[in-house]
Amino acid sequence: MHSDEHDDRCLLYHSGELAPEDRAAFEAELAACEGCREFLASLRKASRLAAEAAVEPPHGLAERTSERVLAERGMESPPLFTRRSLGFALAFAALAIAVYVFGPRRAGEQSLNWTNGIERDLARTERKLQALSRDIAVGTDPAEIDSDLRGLEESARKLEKQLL
Amino acid sequence: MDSEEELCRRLKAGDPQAFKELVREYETPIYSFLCHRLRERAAAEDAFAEVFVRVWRGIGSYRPQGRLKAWLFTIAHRLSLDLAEKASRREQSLDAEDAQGRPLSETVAGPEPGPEREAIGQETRVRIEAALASLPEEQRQVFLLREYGDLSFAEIALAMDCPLSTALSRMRYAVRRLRGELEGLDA
Repeated sequence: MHSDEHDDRCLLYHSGELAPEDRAAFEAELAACEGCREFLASLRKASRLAAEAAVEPPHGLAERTSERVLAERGMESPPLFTRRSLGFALAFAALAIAVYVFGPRRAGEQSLNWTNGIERDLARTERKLQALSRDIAVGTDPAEIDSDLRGLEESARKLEKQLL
Repeated sequence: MDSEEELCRRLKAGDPQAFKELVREYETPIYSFLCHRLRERAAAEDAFAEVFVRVWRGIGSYRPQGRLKAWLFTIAHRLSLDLAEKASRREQSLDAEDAQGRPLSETVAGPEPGPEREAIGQETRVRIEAALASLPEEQRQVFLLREYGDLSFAEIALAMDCPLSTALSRMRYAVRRLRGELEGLDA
C-alpha cells in the first residue's frame, strides 16, 4: 500500500540523502510500487520544469553587486565584534552552566527562591545565546550582534557571581 | 573556483576577489530563487544585493558547519520572508494593484528575449510560474530552496527552522499539487 512514507523516501532518494544501503532497498521497492514510480516521475518533471523556469539575471548583476557591496562596506570585512569577544562570552556562559550543573552548592543557599532565581537567569542566558547564534547565522547587522554579545556577557557574569 | 574551504578562508581574510567569485558563482541560483519568491524583478535585484551585503558582513563570524551554499540560501530565505511580510503590509495599507499576482514573466520583461526564453515557449513559462505561484507559501519556500538552492532536506529544515519531517511533507504536498498544475506540459 502506497503511503506518505513512500513519497518521503522518494524525495530523499531524489535528493541523494538516502544512505547507500537504504538506497539499494528503495530501488528494489520502487520496482514493485507503482505509486512510488508515479510520484518520482512527478517529482522529476516538476524539477525539470522548475529548472527551465530559472530566471536569467540581468547582464552584469554580479559585477554591479560586488562593486556596490565592496564600495559600501569597504574592502575589508572585519566584523565589529571579534572572534575573541565571542569566545569570551561563550566561555563565560559555558562556565556558568557547568558550575550550575556540576559545582558545589552552598549550604543555606539552596532555598527554592535561590534555585528559581538561578534557573531564571540561566534560561535568560540561554535565550540570549540562541538569539546571538541566529543573528550570526543570518548575517545580522554587527551593531546588533555587538549588543547581543554585551547582553550575553552581562548575563553570564551575573550568573557566575551567583554560583561561585 | 577554489574549493569551498579555500574560498571561505579567502573570504574571511577579506579578499575582494574571493567575494566577486562568490557573487558570480551564485548569481543565477540566488537571483532565480529571489525572483520566484518575490515575484518582481526590481525587488529581486535589490534583495540580491542585500543578500551579499549580509554575506560580506557576516563572513567574519561564519563558522562552517555545512555547505556555504546552505548558509547563502538561509540568508536569502530569511530576507525574502522579511521582504514578503513588508510587502504584504504595504499592500494592505495601500490596497493598490501592483505586480503581485501577475505572472513573473510580465515583471521580468527584458528588451531582448534571452536564450532561456527562447528555449521554452512563453506560454509554457507562464504556466510554470503560475503553478509555482499557486503553491501555498511554505510549500513554495521548500520547493524553491530545493530546486534553485539545491539544498538537501536536512539543510532546508535547518534554514526554515522546522523538523525534517515537516520539510518533507511540505515538498510532498507541493509535488502532488504541481502534478495537477503542470499536467500536459512536456518536461
